[in-house]
Amino acid sequence: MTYLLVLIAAIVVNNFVLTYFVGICPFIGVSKKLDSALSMGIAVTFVMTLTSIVTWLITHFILIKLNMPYLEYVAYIVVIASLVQFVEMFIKKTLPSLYKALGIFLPLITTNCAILFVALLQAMRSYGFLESIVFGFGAGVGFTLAIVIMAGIREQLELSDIPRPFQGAAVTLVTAGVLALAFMGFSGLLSA
Amino acid sequence: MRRMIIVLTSVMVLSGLVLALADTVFQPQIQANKHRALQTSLAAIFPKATKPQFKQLPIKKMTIYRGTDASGTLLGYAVGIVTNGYGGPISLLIGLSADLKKIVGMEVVEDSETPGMGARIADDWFRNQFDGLNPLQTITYVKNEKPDSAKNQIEAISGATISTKAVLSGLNSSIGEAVSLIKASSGQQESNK
Amino acid sequence: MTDITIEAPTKQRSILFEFAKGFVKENPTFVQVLGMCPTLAVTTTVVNGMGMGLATLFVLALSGLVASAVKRIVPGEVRIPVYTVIIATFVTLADLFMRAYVPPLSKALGPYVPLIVVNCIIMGRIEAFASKNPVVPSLVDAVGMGLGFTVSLMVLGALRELLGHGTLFGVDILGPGFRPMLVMVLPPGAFLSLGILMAAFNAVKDRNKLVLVGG
Repeated sequence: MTYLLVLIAAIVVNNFVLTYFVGICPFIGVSKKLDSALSMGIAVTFVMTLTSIVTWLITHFILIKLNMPYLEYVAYIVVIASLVQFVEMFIKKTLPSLYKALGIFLPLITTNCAILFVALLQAMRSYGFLESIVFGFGAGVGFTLAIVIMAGIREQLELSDIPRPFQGAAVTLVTAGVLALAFMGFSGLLSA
Repeated sequence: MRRMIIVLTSVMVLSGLVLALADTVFQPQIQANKHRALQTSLAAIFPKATKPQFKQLPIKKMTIYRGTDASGTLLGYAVGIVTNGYGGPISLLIGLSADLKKIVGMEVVEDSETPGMGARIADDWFRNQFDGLNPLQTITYVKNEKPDSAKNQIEAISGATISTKAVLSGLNSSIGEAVSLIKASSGQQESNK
Repeated sequence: MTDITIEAPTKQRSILFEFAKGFVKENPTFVQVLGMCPTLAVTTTVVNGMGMGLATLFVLALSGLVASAVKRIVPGEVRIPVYTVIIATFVTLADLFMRAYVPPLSKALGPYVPLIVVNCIIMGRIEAFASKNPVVPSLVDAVGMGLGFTVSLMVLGALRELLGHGTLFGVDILGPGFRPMLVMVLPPGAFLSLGILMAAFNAVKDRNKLVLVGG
């Protein structure tokens, strides 16, 4: 039951983009077209879930066992960067069609605050192994949800007349604000 | 290729050394901060006491402090409880009267609850509700009505029921045990005299 | 009529220019749209914004300095991992320092401090500038960007704190009659404030360009 709570919380109640403000760069940058938004979302979900697993292992078997908590940030970022590198190479070799669809987004994901945030949070909240996997997956799904909705809205916005100062990132941010307002409605969801 | 590996490894080793050094430099102050925060929370549970002193009881299972004031009179006890809140672990200190029959205070030491909502467990009005409650009876919450303290009730924070429930679940599962442990410990001290 | 912009060739840009460009022309927040995550998350008060800005400035400056100093030793293929480790090291240092000497700020900024590691501004500056320029200009560039970033954060923080709490730097400005707009310090307010400020920034920039053209 806790797993379900963790999942729902990560997807809507504490949405990574709209509540925690992570993953904004790709959120603004890749939300122009619906299909690229979806591809980015799927890539992010995949990497987040993997990251959860690997950083959990690192936290518990290296940082804690060897009593070097101060290496946390360096260890996480190195692991994440390497993970993304391997994933990219792996997909390129085994599923070239998938690589064509998702591949270009993978390097972008490395410096994505959202991935590091997943690692940081699961350590901060002392999640168990299974819990952290569910958390990583949920965070990715939440990100995908936000970016896909945003892409849908922006595709419509393309057709309207936006005042010059607002064009570009500004209107996207304002739209995100309205979206965030809507998502706040979820905050009461888990008080049974 | 070899150059790449050498550079990478050196950077990592250097980083590790620098950080290990920094850790030894900064940790004493970080620990001192934690200690001071703890002292402040402990003192806040017994606000009327002058220069309270706290000693941790030699109990392994839980963190319990015995508070005495400047003249050596027993003030009461403070029990450290950690519970799982909405945004992460919540660290609480619960004050017990010297005769262990009443709760005398509740302090939130650390939390990651939502500001303006769950974080209001640290608000005065919420914490004061625990004063006078019976530590051996389950504490329950009510919503949108006046709580009956005779029935060990408190009013939940509207819109933050999860945080409220987290606090209560931590209390209900640990206080009873804390009381027994304290009694056993002071019983031992008595019999050691 | 086209815009008239007078720009000296890169080699001759003055140190002053390298420093000042971080404030307006290449402002990391409003022009380059970088470092969004901390910008939105910690600007609930001016002090928090300033704290984050200064911490980022510290990491920016030192990482830029070191990156520029080692640029000849580091082979091109491993430069990104090397820079990443350098940045992460300085972020950890900043974090340890803050937890030791300004614990309330450290608590307020929370998990967003380690996120400085992936703040695109830092890697962006190293890649674009520090890795290709000598040490002193790199430092100046980094400090300029860092200060520009800090100012942007403080402006955003001021807007949100003033409207959301009625205070600035914790000091009550608008008086007891003011009903605070809580939304300003919550996520929607963050997005809206930044979006509007960005639009305002763009509008002022556009107007200045028009003046050059029309005049």
